[in-house]
Amino acid sequence: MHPINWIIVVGYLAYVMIDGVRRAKGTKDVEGYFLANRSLPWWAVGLSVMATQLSAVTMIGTTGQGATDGLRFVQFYFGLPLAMVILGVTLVPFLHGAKVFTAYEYLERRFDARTRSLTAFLFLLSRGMSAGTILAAPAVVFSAVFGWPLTWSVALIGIPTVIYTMLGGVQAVTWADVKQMVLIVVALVSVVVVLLLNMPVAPDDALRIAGATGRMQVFDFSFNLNETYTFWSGVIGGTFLMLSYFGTDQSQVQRYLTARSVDEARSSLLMSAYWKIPLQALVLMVGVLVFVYYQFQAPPLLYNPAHEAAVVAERGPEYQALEGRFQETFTLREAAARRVPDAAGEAEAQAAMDEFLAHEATVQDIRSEALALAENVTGESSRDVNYIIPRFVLSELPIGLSGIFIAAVMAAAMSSIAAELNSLSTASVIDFYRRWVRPEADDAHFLRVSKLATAFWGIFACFVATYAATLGSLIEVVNRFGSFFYGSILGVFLLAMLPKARGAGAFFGLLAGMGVVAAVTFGAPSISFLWHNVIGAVTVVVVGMVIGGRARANA
Amino acid sequence: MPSDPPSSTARSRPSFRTTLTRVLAVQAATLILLWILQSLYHV
Repeated sequence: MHPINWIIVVGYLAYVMIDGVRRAKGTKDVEGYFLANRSLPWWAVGLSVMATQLSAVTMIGTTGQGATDGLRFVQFYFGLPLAMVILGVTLVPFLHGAKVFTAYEYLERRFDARTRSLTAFLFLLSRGMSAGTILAAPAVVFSAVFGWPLTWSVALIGIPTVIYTMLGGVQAVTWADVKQMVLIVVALVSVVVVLLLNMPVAPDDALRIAGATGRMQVFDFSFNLNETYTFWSGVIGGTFLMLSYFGTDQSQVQRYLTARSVDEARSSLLMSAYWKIPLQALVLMVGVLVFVYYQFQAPPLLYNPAHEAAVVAERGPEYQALEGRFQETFTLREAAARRVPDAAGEAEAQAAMDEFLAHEATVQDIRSEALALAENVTGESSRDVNYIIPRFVLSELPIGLSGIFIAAVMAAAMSSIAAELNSLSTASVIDFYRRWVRPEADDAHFLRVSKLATAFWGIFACFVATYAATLGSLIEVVNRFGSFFYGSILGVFLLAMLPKARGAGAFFGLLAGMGVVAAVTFGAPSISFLWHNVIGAVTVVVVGMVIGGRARANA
Repeated sequence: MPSDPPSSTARSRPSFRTTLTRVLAVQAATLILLWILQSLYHV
């Protein structure tokens, strides 16, 4: 990478660290450290909410998904605006008005200590691991692209994040999120502009080419429980998922508990309702345009440079033969693509498009052969889609913009990890240490313990990220386990708003919800995970109300 | 004595109902735009 790009990346990292340390000076107590004394403006909280949700996976993986699969994934977010509106009139006033530190603390006031402890424990378990996987995703890609050891990549992203989160608390996290969100949007918009300027065909023709390969399909109205991304799974399943994430996950709840008032907390959530779908469409459109760009500029046969090097070293002649066929077909495909806008009439344009599609199918076949070869040589899944955008950014973008995009990927990773570390520390200290171990200690003691807890979770995340490859199956188990209880925890919070619900109903309803989702996961594995949240939440509410009704009858 | 004009902070922050209306309008516009894109280019 060009030195100017490195200067931009290093400058960004230094600025985030210095700003975070500067903000530590204003944090004198636990409420300031975890909740900024409930003093933050709605727009800063709103940007922090968005930055927390938008991780490096979005910048690398979702853009790559746009290149290979098109715009369909945007349907996943169709339930988000509705969820934000529902939360604005239900859970947000409950949680903000209760003056709690954590969402789970509220459950003890409403139900009992065991329900609070179980939900907080489930949060620590899943988010502790997910902080590591969020860090691992960009670190693995950076290692492959820049040829660094994985520990370097983990340290480059992880250490600055842990330092500013530990010292500055939620103030540092939120104000860093604001700047990081601006950087991310600037990087994405700049890439779209550069792509459109450098495209050899007009935007209209570029979108026609994308559309001919199915990448401009946004809506799928089929009602198929086995299909992950449809309009209905997005609107119904997505609404429940977003209600769970934004309403019950401490990493998000803590963002809006820092707002000055209930009204400002609502407004901060509605910022995501405004902008999430357009932003996600922009992210996917970057991928779609990169796909079209590579119709006119030869792409690498394998995007993952580490796998490419491994295959060349072990099966060189075989790979070279594939590359030869790939280049030959690429030339034919490019010629056909260029004929599409130059065609004299509709019939000629259609003939050029048909020829283009035939060559495109051959290119995909050759790429599949290369991916199979790479998997055979390396013994690991290629995940080539995650390397499309990094390779494009480093080889095709102008000097300076590459640096901005790499800094934006780091910003996306850091903003998500920082929010998770901050919330993991809050739940550890408030829901367990202060509740069960040292309830009588003074504020200064809790502030010290909170900083130590942040450091502990930061080191834990770096450890998980470093060993993510070897811990692969364990992480999958934890993630799958996490999907069992996400909707079920939402069900507990829904119960909390029903006046007739009781503690026993909430606790055993939660266990029943998790059990039913586990049964569905293993018994009917083809049902899309988006529906698991609906099943879990409904089960908890039904079981909780039945048990609550019996308890009232016995009393 | 005339009452104080509303503060700039109060004026800059719209009410929840206004924001909600705007959210629905923005979503409708976004979905229509995506629908038009699909209709024009998806084969």
